[in-house]
Amino acid sequence: MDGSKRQERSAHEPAARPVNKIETASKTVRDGHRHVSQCNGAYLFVLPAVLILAVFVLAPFVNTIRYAFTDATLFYSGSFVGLDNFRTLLTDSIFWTAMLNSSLYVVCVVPFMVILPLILASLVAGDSRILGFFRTAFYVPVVMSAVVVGLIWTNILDTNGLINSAFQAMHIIAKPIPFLTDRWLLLFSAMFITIWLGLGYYMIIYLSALANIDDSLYEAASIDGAGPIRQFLSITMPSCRSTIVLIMLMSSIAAFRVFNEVYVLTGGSNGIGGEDVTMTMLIKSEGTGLTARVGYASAISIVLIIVLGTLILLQTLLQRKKG
Amino acid sequence: MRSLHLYIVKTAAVISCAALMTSLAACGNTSGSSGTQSIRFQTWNLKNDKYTPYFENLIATFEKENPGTHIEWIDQPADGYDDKLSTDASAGQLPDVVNVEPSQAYVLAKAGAIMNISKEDPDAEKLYTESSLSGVHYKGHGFEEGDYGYPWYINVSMAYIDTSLFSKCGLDPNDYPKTMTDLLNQASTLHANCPDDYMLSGIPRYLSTFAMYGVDTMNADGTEYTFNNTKGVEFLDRYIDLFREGAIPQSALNPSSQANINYQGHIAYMEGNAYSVDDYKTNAPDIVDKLKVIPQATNTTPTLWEHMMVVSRTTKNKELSYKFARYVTNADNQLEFAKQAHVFPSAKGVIDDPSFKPTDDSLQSEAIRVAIQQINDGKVSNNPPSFAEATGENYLADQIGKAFQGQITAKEALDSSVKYANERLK
Repeated sequence: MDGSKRQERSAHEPAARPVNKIETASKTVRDGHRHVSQCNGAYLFVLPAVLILAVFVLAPFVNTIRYAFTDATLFYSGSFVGLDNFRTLLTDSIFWTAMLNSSLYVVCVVPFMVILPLILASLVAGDSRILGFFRTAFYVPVVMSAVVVGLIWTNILDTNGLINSAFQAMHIIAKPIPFLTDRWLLLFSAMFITIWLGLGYYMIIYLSALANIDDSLYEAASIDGAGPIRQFLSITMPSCRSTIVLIMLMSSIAAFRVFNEVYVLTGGSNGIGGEDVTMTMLIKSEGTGLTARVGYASAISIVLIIVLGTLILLQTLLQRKKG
Repeated sequence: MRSLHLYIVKTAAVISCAALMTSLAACGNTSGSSGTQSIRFQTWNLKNDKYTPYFENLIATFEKENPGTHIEWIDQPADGYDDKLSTDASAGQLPDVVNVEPSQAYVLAKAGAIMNISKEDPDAEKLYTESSLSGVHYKGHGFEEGDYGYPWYINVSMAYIDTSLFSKCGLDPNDYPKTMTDLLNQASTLHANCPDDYMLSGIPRYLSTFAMYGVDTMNADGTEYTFNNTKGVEFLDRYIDLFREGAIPQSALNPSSQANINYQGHIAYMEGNAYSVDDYKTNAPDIVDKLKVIPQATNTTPTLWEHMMVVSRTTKNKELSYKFARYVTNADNQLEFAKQAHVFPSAKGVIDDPSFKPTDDSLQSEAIRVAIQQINDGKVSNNPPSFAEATGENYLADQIGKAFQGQITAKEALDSSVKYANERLK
C-alpha cells in the first residue's frame, strides 16, 4: 500500500529537479536517525535473550574462570592462589580416575552413537505404519527421565535382578555377574544405558538427513546390482557425512559430560572405592554442598571446558578436511 | 507511527523491569504495609499427605495465638537439601527458621549463617534434654561456643532380625547379637550354615559404626580425628575378613544394591528405625511376620540422630523467629509430631508420655519400646557433626571400598581418610 503511494507520488514529481545539498544532508541525517532508531528497536528485542545469556551463562563462566585461581569455598570468596588448584589436580588421583573414566566413555560410546542410529534410521525410514511404530518405540527412551531409566536398570542389573536371576535359572551362570559392584562392569553398564537412551534421539536426526537423499541414487545403484549393504556404504553413509560429524560432536560432548547414568547406578556414590567417578560427578562432589571447594571445583570445570573445546576443534578440523 | 510503537515497546520494557524489581524486592520478609510480621519457615521433605495437615494446623494455631504474624511455610525435597541450604546461605537468603541436622547446622554455624541460641535466647536450653542439646552445641574451630539450634525430634537406629533365618541357620533368635563383636561372629556362623543367606547386607560406611565398635573417632578436645587407631583398623579388618569369606554379599559394596537386598528374605539382621515397620509392610510383606525388633548391636552406646530448628543470622524478625522455633519444638507440638511420625521428642519430660509406653505386642509397639530403651543410653555425638557427608563420609566410603576390594589395606584406608578429614577440619 505504502509502496504504491510512493510510486504514485514519484510519477507526479518533476523529471529533473536540481539537487539541493542541504536537503541531501538532511535526508542523510534523517536516514541515519531512522537507522539508529531501527537498531535500537532491534537491540531492545534481543535484550531479554542477551540478558539471560549474560546472567545465566556468561557471568557464571567468567566467575568460574575467576574462582579457578582462588581458594574460594562456599562461605569464603577466596584469595588468589595462582595455579595452585591446577597443580593440586595433577597430583589428585581422583581427578585422573575421573579423566580416565570420562575419556573412556567418549571412546566407547561415540562409535555406537554414530553408527547404530544410522543403521536404525535406515531400517525404519519409510511410510508404513509398522515402521512408524518402530520409530516411536525407539524414541520412547529419549523422553524418559535419565534418573528413572537408571533406577530401572539398577533393578535389572542388580545381583538379584532380572538378568542375573534369569541367567541363574537357566544355569548359564553359577554366580551373579557383578554388574553394579565391579568397577569396569558398572562403567560399561552405564555406557550401555547411555547408548540405549541416545539411539532414538540421534536416529531422528539421521532420519531427516536420509530424507534429503535422492531416491534415484538408490534406484541407479539397484539397477547396477548393488545390494542393501553396498547401497548403505556407498550412498547412505557418504550422503550423511556432515550429519555423522555433527552427531560425533554432539555425542562426544554428551559422553564426556556423563552424570546421571553413572550416578544412579553407583547409588549416588562415586562407585566402589570411588573408581567410577566421572568429571561431572567430581565437579558436583567438590563444588556443591555445604562444604563446597568452589575454587578447586572451578579448576576442574576449566579442564573440562578445555577438553571439550579441543574435541570440538578436532572434529571441526576433521569435517573441513573431509569437506 | 514507528516511533509511537517504539515508545510503547520501551515503556512496556521499563514497566516490566520495574515490576520485576518490585516483585524481587517483595521476596524479602519483614513487616508488610499492614503491620503484619512475617517470617519464612523451611522444612525438609515434610509437605505430603501425611504431614501437611499437621504443619498447616501448627501454623494456623500460632498465627491465631499471635495476631499480626504470618508464617510462610516452605518445604524442600529430600534430595539436594545440602545444596539448597548452601545456595541460600551463601546468598544471605536462608529462611528465618530452618529444619536441619547437626552436620548441616555445624557448617552453617561455622560460616556465621545461623544464630547462637545460647546467646540470643538463653532460657531455651532449659526446655530440652541434655543428650539432645549435645547435638546442637558446638565449640572450637573458630566460632563462638554455644547451642546453635532448638532440638526438635530424635531418632535411633535399631535392628530388625529375621527370626526364621536365625533358626534355619543354627542361631537362636532369642540370643540375638547384643554387641558388635557378637554380631560379626554370628555373621560368620550364619553364612557357614546357610551359604545363600547373610547376617549383614552392608559394609561400614559411616563413622558412627566405628564409634559403636568402641573406636575413639576423635581426640578428647575434638580437634583431630583418630579413627585410624588400632581399634579402628581391627574393626575394618574384621569386616573385610567376613567379606572375603563370603559372609557379606558382593552387593554390599554398592549402596543401591544394598537397599534392594534387605527386602528379599536373605538377610538376617537389618538396620532400621521406628518408622521402618511401614516400609517392611509395604516392600517385604513375605518376611514382615517373621521380624523381631532388637536394639542395635553396639560395644558402646547407640547412635542418636537429631533434627533441629535453626534461626538465620539474616532474619529481619529475630523475636518472631525465636518464638516460632520454640513453638515448633515445644513439648506439646513435639509430642503431637512424634506420635504421627514415629520419632521421639527432645523436649524434657515428653518421653514419659503414655504414647511412648505401648502395651500391645505389635511390631510397631515393640519398635517404640526398643527405641525408648536406646534413647536413654544413646549419644548424638557418635557421629561428629564436623564429619559432614560432603567432606569425610564420601571419602571414607571410597577408601573403605578400596580396602574391601584389596587395593589397599585397612590401615592405609583409614590413614588416608583421617588425613583427608583432618585437613578439612582446620
